[in-house]
Amino acid sequence: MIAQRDAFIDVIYDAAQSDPNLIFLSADFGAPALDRFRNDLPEQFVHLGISEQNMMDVAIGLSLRGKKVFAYAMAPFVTFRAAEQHKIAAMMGANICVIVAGVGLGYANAGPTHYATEEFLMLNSIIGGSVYTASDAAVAKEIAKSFINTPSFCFVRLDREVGPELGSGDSIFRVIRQGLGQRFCVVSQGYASRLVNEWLDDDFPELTHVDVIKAKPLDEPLIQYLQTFEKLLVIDEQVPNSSLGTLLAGIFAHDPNDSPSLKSMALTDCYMYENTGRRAIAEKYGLGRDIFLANLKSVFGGEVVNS
Amino acid sequence: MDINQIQTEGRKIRLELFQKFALIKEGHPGSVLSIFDIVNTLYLGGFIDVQVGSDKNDSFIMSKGHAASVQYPYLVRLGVLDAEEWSAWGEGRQSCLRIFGNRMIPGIDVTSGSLGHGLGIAAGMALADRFDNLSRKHFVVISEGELYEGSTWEALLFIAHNKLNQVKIILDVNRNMILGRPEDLLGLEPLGAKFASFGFDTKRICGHSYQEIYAGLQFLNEKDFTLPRVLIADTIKGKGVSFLEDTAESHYWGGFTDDQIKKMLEDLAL
Repeated sequence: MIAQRDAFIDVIYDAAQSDPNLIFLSADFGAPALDRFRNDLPEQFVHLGISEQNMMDVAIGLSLRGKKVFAYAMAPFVTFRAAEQHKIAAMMGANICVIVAGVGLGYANAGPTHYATEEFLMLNSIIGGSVYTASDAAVAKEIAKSFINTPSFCFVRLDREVGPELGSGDSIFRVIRQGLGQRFCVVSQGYASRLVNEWLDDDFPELTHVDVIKAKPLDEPLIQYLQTFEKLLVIDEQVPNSSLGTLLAGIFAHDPNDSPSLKSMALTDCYMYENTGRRAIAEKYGLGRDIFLANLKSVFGGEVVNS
Repeated sequence: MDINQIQTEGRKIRLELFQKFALIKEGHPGSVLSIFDIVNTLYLGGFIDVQVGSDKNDSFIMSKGHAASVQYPYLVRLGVLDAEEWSAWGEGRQSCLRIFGNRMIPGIDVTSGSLGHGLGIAAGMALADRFDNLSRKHFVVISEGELYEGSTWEALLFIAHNKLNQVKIILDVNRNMILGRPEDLLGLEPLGAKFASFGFDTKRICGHSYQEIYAGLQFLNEKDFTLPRVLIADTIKGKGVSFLEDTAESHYWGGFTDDQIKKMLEDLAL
């Protein structure tokens, strides 16, 4: 298994060897794959120091002169500290891929300064920006290819943990598990997709599980597909206002077509100081298997849970 | 054009610009007037290379975006901006021009308005040119107010470390903030020493002396110097309009009476 960030950077590395316009910026954030990149392609790597704001402004300038830019830093810092730079980059249609590394509780047990449990909302608020979330390395690769082929202003949210591949890669969405029926669907993104995949295991054959990769703009065929279900349970490792469930509810609220009923599972809206590990912290604040099963029962009823 | 001609022609352009402001009743007259003489010399003195249809033009970033409109008359003269866009502005006809510059306006390289971004963006442009073996100049006008933004200092560190000498920094020091003077509110001096400590060569001039401006722009445009350069210009907010000079009230166009507007145009016609 390979870390998402290494899989992502390896794709950039391969493309950058024949495309000198691919430039990689880092706010003093590393990865094994990046060591190879900066060693072999030093003229396409720029170190910015721990200055996320300047990294984004420099990225804008590079993009205005025709470069395709990757800007890489830790999720909570590149998101919030450089918020206005993101707005300006999107405003100018800059071709910048902001690599948002370590989303959710990925930096457990570092504490709330290092958690990015509310950053999805911030990224979605940027007009004209796209938001991708990788749930495994295969997806991370596909997102990197997508940007290289069709550059634009986008955020790519990567998980810190190395995890299993959940299926073949995609850069829009994927159906990780096709249920027998067409009534109930669990929807998730990123690390939550991995959790759901584990929790469902081989049980609950009625349930479909959809992994959302590109949340903004949300793919129209995906919206239509989700609208074919009666009920959705949406799970995300974010606080409620920042969660995929809230985003979907908002999209459905503005959609003229009939939409399914929706329940959202998310983290409690608070700062978390425990040092008990990512899973335990997530479970304590609303994202555990038992809570998931209870929600399955309450949302979908005994028909699903007992099957 | 010699210096006298630049100054004489500049007065006409300045009046033309303020006749437009009087029409649209918007703008930031104080800030435009503090930087006007420098921008006038930059364009009319040929310090910046801009040609219609060229993809090798020098860039100009008015990082203090509220003064971006000072560029428009020059872009019209250069043929980069259609004269109809200028004529139509404020006349009830469709025009792309706005008080704050944006990239939809021909000749405007960067959308500005929020402070503290111009230097970093210019650094990125200069870096891209270095990758492409180009030697375009990137002029950036920053206000002293932008020195309160941390991103400005982040960019200065980056420019100095990478010796991005094609970034030509002009600092407009008009000593007027909305709520008072910097030295009373949050001191900025000694500016020269601060820039020097970050690895820059500086030259300090009077931003309204055409002799000094000309020499200052020559200083920025010299070739083969070691440290990146900053032209620190002491200016007067509202320069040229008697009742606006050195006042915080000159910042916004707002509430000027007809008599004041008349006086403003009379002063600028002198």
